[in-house]
Amino acid sequence: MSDPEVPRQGAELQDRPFISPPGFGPLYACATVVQVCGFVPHADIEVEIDGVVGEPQLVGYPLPIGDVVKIPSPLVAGQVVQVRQRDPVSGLVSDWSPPQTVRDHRAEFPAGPPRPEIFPLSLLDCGSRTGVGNLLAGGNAWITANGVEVGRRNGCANPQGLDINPSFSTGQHVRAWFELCGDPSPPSTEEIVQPAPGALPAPGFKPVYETSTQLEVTNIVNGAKVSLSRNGKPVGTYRCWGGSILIGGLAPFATTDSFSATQQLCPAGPTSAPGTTGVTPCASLPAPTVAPIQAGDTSVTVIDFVPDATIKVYVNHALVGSGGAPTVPIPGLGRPLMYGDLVDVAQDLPGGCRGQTVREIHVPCVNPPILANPASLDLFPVGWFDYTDGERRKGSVFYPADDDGPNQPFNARLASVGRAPIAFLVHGNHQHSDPSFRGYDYFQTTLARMGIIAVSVDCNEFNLGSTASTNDYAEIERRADLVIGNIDYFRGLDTTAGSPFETHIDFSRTGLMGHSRGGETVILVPQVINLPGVHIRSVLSLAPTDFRRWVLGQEHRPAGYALACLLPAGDGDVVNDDGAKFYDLATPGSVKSQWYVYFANHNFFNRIWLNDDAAGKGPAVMPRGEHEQILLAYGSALFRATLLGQINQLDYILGKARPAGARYDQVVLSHEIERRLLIDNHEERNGIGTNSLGRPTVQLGGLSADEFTFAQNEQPLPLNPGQYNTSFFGRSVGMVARAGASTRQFRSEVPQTDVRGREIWIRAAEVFRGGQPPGGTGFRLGLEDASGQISWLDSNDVGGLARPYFRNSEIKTMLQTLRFKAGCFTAANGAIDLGRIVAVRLHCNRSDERDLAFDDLHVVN
Amino acid sequence: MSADATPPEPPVAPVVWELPNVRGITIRRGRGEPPPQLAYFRSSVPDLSDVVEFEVVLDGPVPARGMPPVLYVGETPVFQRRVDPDEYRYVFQAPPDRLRQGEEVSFGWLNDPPQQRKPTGVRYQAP
Repeated sequence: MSDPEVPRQGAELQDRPFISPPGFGPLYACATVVQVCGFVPHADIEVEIDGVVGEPQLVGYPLPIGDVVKIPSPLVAGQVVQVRQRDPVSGLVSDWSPPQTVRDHRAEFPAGPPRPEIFPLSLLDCGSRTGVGNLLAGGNAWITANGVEVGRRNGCANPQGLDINPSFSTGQHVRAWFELCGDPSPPSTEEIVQPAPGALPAPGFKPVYETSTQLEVTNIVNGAKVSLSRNGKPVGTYRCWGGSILIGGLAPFATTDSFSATQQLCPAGPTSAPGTTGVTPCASLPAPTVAPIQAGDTSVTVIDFVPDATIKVYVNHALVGSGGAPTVPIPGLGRPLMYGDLVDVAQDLPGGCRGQTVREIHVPCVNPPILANPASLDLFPVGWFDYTDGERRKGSVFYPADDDGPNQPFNARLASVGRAPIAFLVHGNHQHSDPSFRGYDYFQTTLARMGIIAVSVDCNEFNLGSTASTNDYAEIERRADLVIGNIDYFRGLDTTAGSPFETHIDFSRTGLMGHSRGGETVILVPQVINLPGVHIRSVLSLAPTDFRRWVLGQEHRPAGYALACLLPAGDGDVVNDDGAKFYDLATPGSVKSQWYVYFANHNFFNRIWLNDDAAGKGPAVMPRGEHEQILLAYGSALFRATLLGQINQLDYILGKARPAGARYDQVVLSHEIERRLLIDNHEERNGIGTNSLGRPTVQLGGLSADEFTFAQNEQPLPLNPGQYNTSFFGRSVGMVARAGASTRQFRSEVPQTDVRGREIWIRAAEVFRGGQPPGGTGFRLGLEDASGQISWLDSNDVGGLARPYFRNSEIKTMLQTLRFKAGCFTAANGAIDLGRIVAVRLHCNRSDERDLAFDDLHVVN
Repeated sequence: MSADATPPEPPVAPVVWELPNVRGITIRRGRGEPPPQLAYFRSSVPDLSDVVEFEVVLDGPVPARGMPPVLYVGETPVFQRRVDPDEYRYVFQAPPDRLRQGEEVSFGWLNDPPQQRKPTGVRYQAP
C-alpha cells in the first residue's frame, strides 16, 4: 500500500533555512576524483581531505549519477574525507558529511577490481556512446573495439558513460576495461556490435513540470544521438548510452513550452519520428514516492521524483533534510528516525515551483530497505566445461576464469591469493533423457562470477527410466553417495598436477544446493560425508522430498551448518512443502532460514523442467525468470555469507534487507540464529503453563491457548501433543491462541533481562481453518518491565502477518518470523525500562475471530 | 503504428501426473531388497529377511516427479524397491506386519487422497 499524499498547506510544516550535506564515495586509494551525489543542482562542492579543504567546485545535476569532483592529488589509504555543499540560490552551506576513510581496494578485492559491465542493451552500428558499470569511482575506464581504444575516462564515476570515437561498426568485438592504482580488473564480457535497426522508435518524455530546468527523454537506443527542440527551435544534440537521457541546463520551463526529440544512429541512416511533450503546470506537481523507511534510519530515499527537484524532509513538522535526490540525509533531526515519527516529504523545483502536496509516513518499527541484489557481485570471467571420470561421476562446472568461455584457465589472480570455495548443486527426479543437471547454469554462472566454483552433479542415473530409479530412500542414499563421489572427484582434481583445479579449491568452504529429491540429498550428505578436509558450511534445500520419513519413519535433523529451505507455496509436485520439517527440526549452525515463496511452483527453478506443475491447482505463478531471480538473490546471499565470509549478506535472509531486482514481496521469511536467548519454543513438553526458561506463563482476558504439534499426521507417530488442525505442515510444537475477545493476552515470564539494542523475534501465523476470511489479521507484542510498565507494538508495525497462500486444496498455516526492535518499545512508551524486562506479552487484540499460531519466541542481539 | 489489442493467452494446461493402469499384481513372500552398497557411507536402509513383495506390471510409464508412486494396502503406503522400466515392471516391498488382511490394494502417488488412487481390484491376502 502506498503512503498517502496530503496537501502541503494542511500539514503544518515549519520551513527554515537548511541544507543537508551531500553523499559521496566509496573512496579508494589512487582515485583522482570523488563521486558526490544528493546535492542540489549546480551546487558548489568542497572536499576536505585530512583537514585540508579544497577549492569549491561547481557540479551539475544530482541525476542520473551525481558528479565527480577533482582532487589535488590521488587519494591515499587512511586519509579521512568529508564533503559539503553550498546552494547557489539560497547561499546556504551544509554541514560536513560524516567522514569516510579511504580504503585500499586490494583489501576488499584482493584478486583485482570488479570487472566492468557494459550496459545490457545491444551495442549498435554507429553507436557513439555506451555506459559501463561495476566500477570503482576514481579509477580509469576505457572501451576497446577490435582491440583498439575508442573511449576513455580517467577518474571515472560509477557508472560511467563513455563517448565512442570513432563510432562502433557492425561486427566489432567490444570490451570495457578498468584499472585502479595500476591494478587492472578483468575485462568485461565481450559484446559484438549489431547492425542498426531499419527504423528507430520515436523518443518519449517523462512528465515535464513548470519551472524545472532538466527533462528526461526516454526510449533511446544504445549509442544514439538525441536532438532536442523547444518550441520548434533546436536546443542541442546529445549522445546517449541507451534507455533514457537527462538534459539539463535549460531555462525554466513554462506551461506554454513544447518539446520534441528525435534520435539517430548513423549520419546517413534514418532519423526517428519525433516524440513530443508539453509542460505540466506547477499545481500538478505530485509529492515524491518514498522508498521504505524504518526506525533507525538517518536518511530518506525517494524513488519517483522530478530529477532536478530539491527534496525536503520534515519530521514531526520540522524541516530536517533538504537536498538532491535520491537520498537525503536528515541531520537536522539530531537523531535517527524513531518508531511513530511523522515524516513528510515534498519536492520543490529550481525555478520556484513548490509541490502542493507531501508524502506522509508514520515511521514503522521495521520496514527493511531495498539494497543491492546479492547476485550482482561480478568479479571474474566465467569458464565452464562438462567433466566426467569416464564412469559415473560427471556433470558441469562453472568457475572463475581468466576469460569467459569453455575450458578457460582458472583465474590466475584469484589463485594467487588463495583457494576458492566450492558449491555442489544436485537436481532431482525427472525424465532420464533430460539433462536436468544443466538446469541451474544461471545459478552456476552467478556463483562463479563471485569466485565460487559451482558444480552441478549429473544424477540422471537415478532418474525416471533408469533401473536405479527406485523411488525410495535407498535412491536418496545412492544420490548422496554419488554427490560425495563427485566431491571426492574434485578433491582429486585439486591434487592432480596439470588439472584445471590443481591447488585451487578450498573444501573447508563447501556449500550444497539441491532441488526436489536433490533437496533431500543435500540434507543427507552432511550427515554421512567423511572426506578429509571437507567442511559443509551451508545447505540450500529447494522444495525437498522427505523419503527418510515416508519410508523409514525417521527424521532428518540438520545441524552444524547454515540451512536455508526454499519452499514454493504453489508447489504442485512436493505439495506438502516437506522442507518446512527440515527447517523446524534444524539446529541453526549460525543461522537457519526458510523462504516460503508465494506464486512459485516446483519446476521453474530448473531450466530443463518446463512444465508448470502449479497450473490448475491454484493461482497462476510468477514467470520463470522471477523464480530464478529469487533463487539467485537469496541463494547468493546465503553462499556469499557462508562461503565468502560476507556476513552482512545474512541481512537478506534475516529480514533486515530486501534484494533489489527480486520479488522479495513474495518471500515470507522464517529465521533463527544460533546465539539467542530462547524464551519459548514449546518443545519441552512442559505444558502451556511453563515456557522454555522454566518460567510460568499466564493466560489473561479470556484467552484460550494451548500447545499443539504443528505437523501433518505422519511417521513417527504419535504426535505429542496432538494437532490443532490439519493445516500445519512443518514439524514443531507451538502454541495456538484461539479466536475470541480482543482482550486476550498471554504473558510469558523471563528472568530480568536487558534488551536494549536487541530484538525480540517470534514466529506467527494466521491459522487456516478451512475458509479464507477477508482482510489480514495481527496481534500486539508487549514488553513488561520490573515496575509493571508495559509497552506494546503491533505486528503491522514490523511488516505485518502474511495471509495464508490460497490454493485450491492445499492451504497451509505457515509461520513467519517477525522482528520487534527493542528500541521501538521505548518510542511507544517512554516509561518502559528496557534494561529490566521481566515478561513478554502477546495481545490478541483483533475482534476478527481468527486463531493465531505462535512459536520460537526469543531475544537476539 | 497503432496499438495492438489481443485476448490473454489461454491458461497453461494443468500438469496431470496420470499414473498408468495396473495390468497385474503378483504377491509373494521373499527376502527384502538388500540395502544399497555405497562407496562412501553405510546405508541406513534396514536389511529385511522377510517381506511381502508386490510385483506390479503397468500398462505404461510412470511420469517423472519428485513424489514417488506407491502401492497402497488400505492406507499403508508400500514403497518401490526395484524396477524394470523397459517392461513397466515395478516391485514394491513391505514388512508383513505392516499389512492387514483383506484390505484393498490401490496404486497412487504418495499422499494422494483415496479418491485419486487407482483401484487394482485386488484385496490383500498374505502369501
